[in-house]
Amino acid sequence: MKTRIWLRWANAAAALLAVTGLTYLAANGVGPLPALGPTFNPGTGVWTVASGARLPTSETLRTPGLNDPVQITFDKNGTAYIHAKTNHDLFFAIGYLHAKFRLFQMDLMRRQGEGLLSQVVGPAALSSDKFEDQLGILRTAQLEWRQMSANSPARQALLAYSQGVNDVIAKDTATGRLPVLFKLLGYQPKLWTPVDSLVVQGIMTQTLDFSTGPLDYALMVKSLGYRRTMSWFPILPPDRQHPYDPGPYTYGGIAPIEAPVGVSAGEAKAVATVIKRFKSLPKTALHHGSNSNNWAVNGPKSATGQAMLAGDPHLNQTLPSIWYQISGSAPGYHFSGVSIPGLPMILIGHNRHIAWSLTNVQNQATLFYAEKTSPKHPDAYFWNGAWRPMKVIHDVIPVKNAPSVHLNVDLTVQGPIMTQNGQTLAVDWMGALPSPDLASLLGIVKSHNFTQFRNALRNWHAPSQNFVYADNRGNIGLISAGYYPLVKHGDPWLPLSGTGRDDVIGTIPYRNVPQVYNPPSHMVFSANQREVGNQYPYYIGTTWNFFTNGYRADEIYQYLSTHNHMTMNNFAALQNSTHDYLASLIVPKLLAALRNQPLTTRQRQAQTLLAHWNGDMNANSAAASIWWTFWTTYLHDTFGPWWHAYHVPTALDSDLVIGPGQAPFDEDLEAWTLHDPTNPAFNLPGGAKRTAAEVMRGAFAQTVRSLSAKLGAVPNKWLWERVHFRAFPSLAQISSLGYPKHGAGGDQWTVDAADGGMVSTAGPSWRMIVAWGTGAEGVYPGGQSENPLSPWYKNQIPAWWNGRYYPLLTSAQVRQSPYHPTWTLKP
Amino acid sequence: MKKAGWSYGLLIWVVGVAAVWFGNQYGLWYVALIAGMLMGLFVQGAWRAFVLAWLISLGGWGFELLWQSLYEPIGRAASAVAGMMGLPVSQGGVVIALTLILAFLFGTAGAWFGVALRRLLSTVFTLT
Repeated sequence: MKTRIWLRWANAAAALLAVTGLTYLAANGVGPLPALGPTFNPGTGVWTVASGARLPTSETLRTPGLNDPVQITFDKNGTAYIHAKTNHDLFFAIGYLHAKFRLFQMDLMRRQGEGLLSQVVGPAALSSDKFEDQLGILRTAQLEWRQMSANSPARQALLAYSQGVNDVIAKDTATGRLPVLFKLLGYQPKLWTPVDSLVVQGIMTQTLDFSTGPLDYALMVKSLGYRRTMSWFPILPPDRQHPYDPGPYTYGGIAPIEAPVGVSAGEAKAVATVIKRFKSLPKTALHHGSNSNNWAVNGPKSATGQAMLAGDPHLNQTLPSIWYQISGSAPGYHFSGVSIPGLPMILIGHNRHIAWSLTNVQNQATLFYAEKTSPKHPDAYFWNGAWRPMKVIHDVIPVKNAPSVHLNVDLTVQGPIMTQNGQTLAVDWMGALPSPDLASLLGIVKSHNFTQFRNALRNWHAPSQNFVYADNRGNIGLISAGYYPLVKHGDPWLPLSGTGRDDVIGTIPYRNVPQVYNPPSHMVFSANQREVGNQYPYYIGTTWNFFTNGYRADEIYQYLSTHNHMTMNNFAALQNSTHDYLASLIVPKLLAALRNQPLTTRQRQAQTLLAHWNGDMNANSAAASIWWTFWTTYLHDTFGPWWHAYHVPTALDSDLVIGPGQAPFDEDLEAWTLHDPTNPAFNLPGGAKRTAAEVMRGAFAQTVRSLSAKLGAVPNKWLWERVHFRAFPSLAQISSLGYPKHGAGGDQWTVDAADGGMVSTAGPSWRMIVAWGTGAEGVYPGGQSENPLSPWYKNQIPAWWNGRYYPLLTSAQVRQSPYHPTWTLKP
Repeated sequence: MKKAGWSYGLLIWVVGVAAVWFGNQYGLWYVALIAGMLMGLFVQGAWRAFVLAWLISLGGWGFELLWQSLYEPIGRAASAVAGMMGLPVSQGGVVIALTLILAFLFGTAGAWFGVALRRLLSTVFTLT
């Protein structure tokens, strides 16, 4: 009997243990496993991804935060047309839409900026979180928020926007309808705040503006020496370029910056440490050459005589896309264009009077300072003749499935300390200064003319952008708004002295930044080329790591300057052009170098392909493969021996790897090949003399060998699409959610740019054409919804891929179309 | 008598499935566990309790999926979730199986605990 009792106790205890264990596992998860109960519950778990993919139907939704009813109509691609009776309701509706279709993306972006990725993905994101905590995007965002006056339109917009986002967060959390990745990662988003929006603005600024140029220069000076580094990587480009603002220029002194601004062996060691840290950061953390195009024409250049504008910002191409397309109307606003989820206004688009688009200025916005420290003065740095205590910020980074990490961020007057290894290196980045970008954007959207547009941009500080402009009265313009830091002393392209000697003393006055309005050429254009000619009286950056090699700008210049009476079709053709400008300069030189040379049959076939090629990097072109492989080999054969002899640390800093797309490599080799074929750089470091023609012949022979090995013995079959691809990876880095690689045309400096290597993952993230008097159209490679099952997840990719566009409609036009489901949001 | 037993069992099953389904709509995934416990505690015969618990938990979770599959792309959802979990997208069946296994485990653990508790209590009360 006793045994039976004990057995029953044991059985009950075992059952209790099983229930407890299972309940724990189901409620909390373990290790990488999410909480199984809520995750797989068919009612509110991951399965809701299916119902969440349903397209909108006409319905009335109760939204208590509104003042009046708001109507949101969708077109067949998911573009949302908002009609609101108050400005508050307009911004509320934008927040509501962003959260409905992109909530996970928004949360990911704010987490990246706030250094909170580790909290949801674990220690893998710790390097990113530490970097962001040090850089201080959150600190800047908080400062920006504090500086906004209580009744400023930007503040009101951010508050209303947050309300809209939070309405969705609250409802979807309560009903278990949050996006599926929240469920798999096992967390719920916290409520949205205006500071979160400003953090998203900061993350975009960082992606476009934060660069490691001075660190790269420091490593090159250490290995190649100062003279050779500055000769090969000069401030001004050695080749002929097409700045959009050719001058004349005036020197207008130095304008103050509106906030306190605050290579030895040791420096090199410190630089190496910082570079190592940067290598482990997400791709979007630093500016890595994703660039953009924009242009506008008027008068005889336009078929209608009215102004026309085109813009295609080049960014990382992800699913979901960075863009969310909206059109809005309220008493103060009427606009159509693309917005970034997290921000309450479009960045690119048009209103009833003006159209605008952006490209990156690429001026130097990141400065590094080697601080003077001493063991006798711990936690202090020497500045302006005295030892000053570093300001220390204590931070705690929560880490999923691991203990929290405590981090001290040391701040000097120049900025946060990025390393203390060997040398204390601080970074002074213009993006860390408050920049009322949203106020500027709201001003742009309300502008009717260039004066208002220009005034709206007066306080745009970072990221510095080339704003192209075209209005319905036939005017065009371009202005490069932003901060251009100027230092008291020193070479700003290298780490500077932190003692106060080399501090930033101001910026170029707004009236003196690059800009043009209604030029006699009837065209304006920017494609990240140096905006000004060599006579410009201010330092704005060097050829290395800042401005691009200018070939896209050259191609655009050539097209616009040789065409008149252009239509939207002309602009579409140019935006989708895969013609390689550099090839049109260099291939004739290569063919000349090969003339009368003994060639193998295969080399002769390759030579013939090049001779009959028009320079188009078409997916089906074999000559394109030969050209690109040749140029890459030619670069290596010229610079490689020097890199090897001087031990340039490419393993440490991938930016130093020789290859196409690093502007000064391309510009030097172009200039030397065309005008200086006996430049000493062609010689070998040991002294053996070589000419451009000799190096080209060797590179060509190597090209044919390498393509034969890779693609077979028949040069006609060396199609570009066999070696060059495009892919659109998932933002969450989940391979099954991305768009897999497909053979593609274009290269890094064709107007239809394919950035990021032979499997390109960056390029035109949005293409827009506005022709006043005719219409407007746009397309982006993705879709409006982040739900992978939604028909709007990647529905625009085929059109984008094939160079097609969708019209940017008015609300009235959408309502006349057969498909126009409408949400009526009622307070 | 047998017929009444079946009807009684059917009634319990319908009520149980409805309770589990209803709970799931509000995120109360543990209702399947509680239902299993109640079966173990109050249904006579261990095997009968287990079978009822399984039918309720699997019914509550499985019918929900089946119902959704009439209107939603549940197969594609399973594939997408498999991809997000790092499995090949062709392994969507694993996600469906995992969901049903979880329901089965809730029913099993709940019923086991209920039966064990009932037996223990009956022994203790018999002794006293």
